[in-house]
Amino acid sequence: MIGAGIAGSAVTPVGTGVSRARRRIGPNAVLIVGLSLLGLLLLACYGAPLFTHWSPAQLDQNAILKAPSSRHWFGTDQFGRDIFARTLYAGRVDFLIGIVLVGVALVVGTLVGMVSAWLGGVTDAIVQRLVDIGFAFPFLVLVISVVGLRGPGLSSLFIAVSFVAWIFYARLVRSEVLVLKTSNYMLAARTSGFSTARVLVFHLLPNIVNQVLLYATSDFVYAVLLGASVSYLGLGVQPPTPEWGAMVQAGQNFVATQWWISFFPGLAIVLMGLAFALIGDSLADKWRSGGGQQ
Amino acid sequence: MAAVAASGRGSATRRLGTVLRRRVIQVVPTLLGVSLVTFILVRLLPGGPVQTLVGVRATPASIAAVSRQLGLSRPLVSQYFTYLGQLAHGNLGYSFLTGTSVTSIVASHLAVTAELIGLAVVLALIIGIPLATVSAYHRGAWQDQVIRAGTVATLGLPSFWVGILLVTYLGLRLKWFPSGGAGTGVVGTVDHLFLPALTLALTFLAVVVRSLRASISEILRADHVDAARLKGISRFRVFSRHVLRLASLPVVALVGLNMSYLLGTSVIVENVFALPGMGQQLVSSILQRDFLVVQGITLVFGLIVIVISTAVELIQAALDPRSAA
Amino acid sequence: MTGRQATQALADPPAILELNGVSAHYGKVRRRGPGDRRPAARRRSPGGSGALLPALAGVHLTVRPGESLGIVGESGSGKTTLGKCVVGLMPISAGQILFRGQVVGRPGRVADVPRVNGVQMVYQDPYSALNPKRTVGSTLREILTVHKLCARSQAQERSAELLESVGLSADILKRRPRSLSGGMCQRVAIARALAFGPTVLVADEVVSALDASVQAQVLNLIADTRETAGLTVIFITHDLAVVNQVCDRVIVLNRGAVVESGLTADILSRPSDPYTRSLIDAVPELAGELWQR
Repeated sequence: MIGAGIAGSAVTPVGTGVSRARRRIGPNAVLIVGLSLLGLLLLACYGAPLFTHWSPAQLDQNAILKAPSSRHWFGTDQFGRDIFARTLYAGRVDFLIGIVLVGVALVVGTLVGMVSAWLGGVTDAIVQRLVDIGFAFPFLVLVISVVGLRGPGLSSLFIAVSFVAWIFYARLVRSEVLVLKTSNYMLAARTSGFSTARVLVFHLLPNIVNQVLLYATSDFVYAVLLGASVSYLGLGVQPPTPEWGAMVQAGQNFVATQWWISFFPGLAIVLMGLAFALIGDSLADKWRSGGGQQ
Repeated sequence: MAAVAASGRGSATRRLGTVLRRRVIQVVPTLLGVSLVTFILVRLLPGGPVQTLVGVRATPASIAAVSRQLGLSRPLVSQYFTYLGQLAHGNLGYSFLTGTSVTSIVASHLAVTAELIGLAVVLALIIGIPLATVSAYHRGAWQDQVIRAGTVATLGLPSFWVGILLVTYLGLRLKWFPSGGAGTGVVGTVDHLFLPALTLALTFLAVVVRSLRASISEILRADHVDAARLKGISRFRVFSRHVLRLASLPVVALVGLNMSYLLGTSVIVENVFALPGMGQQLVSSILQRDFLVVQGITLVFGLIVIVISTAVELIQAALDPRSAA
Repeated sequence: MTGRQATQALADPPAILELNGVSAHYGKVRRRGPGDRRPAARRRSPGGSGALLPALAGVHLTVRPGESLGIVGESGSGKTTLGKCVVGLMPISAGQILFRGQVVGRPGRVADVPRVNGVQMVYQDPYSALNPKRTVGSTLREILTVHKLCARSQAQERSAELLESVGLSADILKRRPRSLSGGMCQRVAIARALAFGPTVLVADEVVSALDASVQAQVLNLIADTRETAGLTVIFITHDLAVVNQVCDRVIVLNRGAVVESGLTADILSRPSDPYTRSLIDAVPELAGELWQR
């Protein structure tokens, strides 16, 4: 969500990423690669005990600041903790952050955006104003201000983000709904004598779900980046809980000689980003070409 | 809309005037909202702002005294209006730590942040425009695919990680650039700003390449570019004259739309490199609970975003008649 | 002879739909920029006095049960607005709308016409007429079950019947709109409208987007349905050839006002208004045909 306002990010309708070029390879192939990578990451993080016997807090007194070796695949930090294990377990925290942040923002934002655009009038004007105000601040700045003032920690992060992140989805959904509102099948739904709830949930929502999910794939990455950045600053996840951003920060002072402490957690973030980018791009390609007439 | 179209001459100025007027009207409630948000931000701390000042073990009496002194016991609404009044005079309050005015703190740190972002945009364009052009020119070919694969891979690039890597290799190992702090004079400043700016530019690069690729593709296919080439003008001249000029509009839009992102990421980058900009000041104030400084800097960030996006809209309206709709 | 007199001269059975002095204004809000919401598309009168030009101005209209009425005019004449007001998609600013003698439309509000056994509409663009995310069957079944028009267990059967009545086979039920042709979509749209058991069907430019051959099929379909179900149909169209083919009576709109009204044959052969004449002239076959009479 730091960059959830990035224009031209993974979700632009015009020639996104590798989509068109991949027609040779096919969006389905890209999707499979993306999903596999994501699956691998999830498996590694949530199934960490299967891959390593070290625990993230376990200290190996003999191995302080040791380089990657067969004993410690990613090396150890200044406390003798295995970086590989810490990276894997930290993944659980970061994935959780991603899911919670995106989940709340998506649900609230979609609801607000849909209802506000449908009702129009004063409601819509107020919501639009709120959204504009929210967009006036760099998202990260707002979040760290709230987190910092409330007290660092994961719960502060969740609260801070929940207050504002919905605006990204609200804006997206609102513009979609305003377009769809005038289409004939929505007019027909309005004249069908159905309750507004039914019209919104069963007629309108299915037509915006794709766009929202597509946005959410890149938003997930931004959410994790946000959580990692805030933790990097010391304002997010608190030690000893392992988290990718915090781990990078912890290794910063050693980076000239013991590069592995900061390197691998950061790499994990990049890989996760890659997985979601592949998924998002292939879905965008599929839905764009297959969603129209055939 | 028909009312504004009319004749060509002088319509650009008229258009600008309309856009300006409209934007200003729109922006005022947003500005008020922004000030309200920063106001609420600080007032609604658990325990109140006074608690953080006097500490946890303060007696109720001393808390009350400090509250009264800071004017915090008055009703919120009157506090807000006092706040607005102060804002109008450029008074953002005073730092609890140093006593200096927040305004002067902001002013002294603003330049560094501005330079950082400015240099980052320049670098992003220097790297991005050629990449985007190659990609657009060889649409679909291997050059295009490689470049696009690159932009895909960088979606999840953490700015702090990139910064640390750059510092390690280019700063510490190769000693090409200093690894932190600020410099003096133009050369020193750029020297110290280079790695941070490059970091910021790299995280921004994917977006730049993608958007420009789309715009440049469109421009390359446009008729007048073909006409120019038919006239025998060399490819390079065609490119520099026509294409770049036409691509400048989307670039302006790009920077404007992403200013919020750039400002946010600059906070991280400044902290990685210990650059004395607003972002670094913001974080240190947060850590030291200097809440008026936090409030002031947050407000200024909001104002900058609004000002920049308004400016971008005006530039767009002036340069491109089609976008002022 | 004014429109009013014409209808009164012919009126015998009580009107199913009446518009008394109905006016409506363009109030479309077009977004111009983030957060800017001001009504655009407000037409100013030519003199530049700043007065608003209405989309409909004092329209009087009576529709008798079972008849086939045409409403013609160029784009901007207000005919689509009239359809939207009647069906309850747009508010009227003056006058009244009555359905079966009951007032359903008042100024400042959207008409509250009954949906079942009431008024339904079929639209111009066949491709956007159906929800792309739903199968045809699901669209039809929803109407039947929500309004309890038949038992849930019979909804599937009834949907198939509806499709058959518009000349489509039952396996269309499983398909989605994007796999159907324009003509088929329009038939499904008609079936959907018919699912409500409407008394009045408003057909807004329903054949304008279709090929000539398909046009004839759809028009015949509506005509047949009208006979079998005793439906009242209001055809909104700019194409006089359509009117000539299927409408008993016709009303001509120009700039939101009724300029002529009467039996199709009369109006087309002896148009009294120059505007009507220009519309007829725009259709060469029609003009030629009428010259020969």
